[in-house]
Amino acid sequence: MLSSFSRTLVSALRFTAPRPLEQLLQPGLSAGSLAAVRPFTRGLWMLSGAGRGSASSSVLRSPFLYCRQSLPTCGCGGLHTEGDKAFSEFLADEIQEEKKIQKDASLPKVSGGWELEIHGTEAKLVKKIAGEKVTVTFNTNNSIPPSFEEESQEGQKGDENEPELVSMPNFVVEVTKQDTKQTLVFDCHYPEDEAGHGEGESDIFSIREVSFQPTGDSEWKETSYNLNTDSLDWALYDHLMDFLADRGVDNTFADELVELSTSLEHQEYIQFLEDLKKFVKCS
Amino acid sequence: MTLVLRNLQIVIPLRRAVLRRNMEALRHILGVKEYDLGVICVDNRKIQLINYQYKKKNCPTDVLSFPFQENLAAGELPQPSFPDDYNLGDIFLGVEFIYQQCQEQKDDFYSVMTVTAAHGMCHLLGYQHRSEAEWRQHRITFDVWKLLTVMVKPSLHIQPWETLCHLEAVLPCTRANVRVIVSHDNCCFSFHSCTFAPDAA
Repeated sequence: MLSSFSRTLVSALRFTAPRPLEQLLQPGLSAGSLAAVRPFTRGLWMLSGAGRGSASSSVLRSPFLYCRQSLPTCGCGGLHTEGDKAFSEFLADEIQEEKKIQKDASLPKVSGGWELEIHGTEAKLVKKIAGEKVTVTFNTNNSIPPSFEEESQEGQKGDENEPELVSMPNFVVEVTKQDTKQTLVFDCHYPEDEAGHGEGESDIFSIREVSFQPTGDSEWKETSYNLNTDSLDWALYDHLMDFLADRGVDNTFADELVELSTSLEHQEYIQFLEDLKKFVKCS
Repeated sequence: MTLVLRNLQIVIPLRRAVLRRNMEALRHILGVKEYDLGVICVDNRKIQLINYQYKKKNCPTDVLSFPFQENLAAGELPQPSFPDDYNLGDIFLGVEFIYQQCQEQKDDFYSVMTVTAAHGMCHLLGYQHRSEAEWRQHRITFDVWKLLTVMVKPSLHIQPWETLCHLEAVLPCTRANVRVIVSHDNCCFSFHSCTFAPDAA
């Protein structure tokens, strides 16, 4: 998305004849255009009332302000600018909006007797079936397919019709049998077209790789054979999918995992915004 | 060539290996193993959407076929010039619809699904039933007994005569055949009669 946006920007700058767009965009484009930023900054500063009375050189010289009367002091020794203040206010609004659209405070349940463990952005679903332990691990970082953003940009439908962000993380299924020292590990993912539009013709989830790893080892053993499913016999692939389904990892599970991951990702996002607000505001 | 199975729905749990085995058997019997084929399992919502989009029928159904080769004469296998064109097309199976029908008729889900897929494959091979005349005209002739020997395995839990009924139902059969089906298996006929009757004009 970023690259396409940059491309649009560059081509707009290159081809627009009297360049009104360039004039509009220029302040934000380069450090050399700082002078163009200043009137705006000053305008805000004057609006806030702190620059009242004089256009003294100290005001013009320092767009950054240390803790003064108009800003809360906190004794942190850090910078507190008008930008920080605006940023903090923006974050407060954003947090409020995000909390409004948060569906439920509690996390959605995954059916089938799974126990959930959360460690930051990493989540683990664990269940035991007849002497076997099945663990599904996923991380919500970078789990929102970029196509959602592109779609919303192209669609220009406005806030009401904005597509909901959905988290579709890669996930790892580990199956451990009691009497063996090896764990069968499946590296699974949500295929691209399904992730992008939800109406594609890919399976809801697919297996990318399968390998054996020593049970209990946290380190990935690179020397273990890795079965890549790209060129796999389809019949074998179907048996692997059925094997997972028998252990509760089927389409329904994958669908519920998306809901759980989306909710977790949203929680983490709100938490991040709150931390960011605290950091910026420093209080 | 490749048989691609896709399961796009969460309503009905599917055994992919069983479905693949049955579909492979069908491809073998119909003599189309050298052609690619896609079998896509969908729920009622999705098949209704496709049915409306392509056939202007706003209801769920059991199967929809999308041939790769257009205007294929019934019974003639496509002879493409390029290896990539050895493709029959795609069959969308409304597995939720089929499952519901099976529950009502107390029929075996996987055997009915195979039969329904066979219906879809007949369409991919150019057979149509848009009118009664067409329905009567297009009769598939292949070795039914060969099919029986491949399909009737203990694991399928179906008897030879049931398979025959399913087969006769799936083929554009004569009324006499239908009577045979009725005499053997009312459930089988009542299920298939609505599906295989000529399309309303």
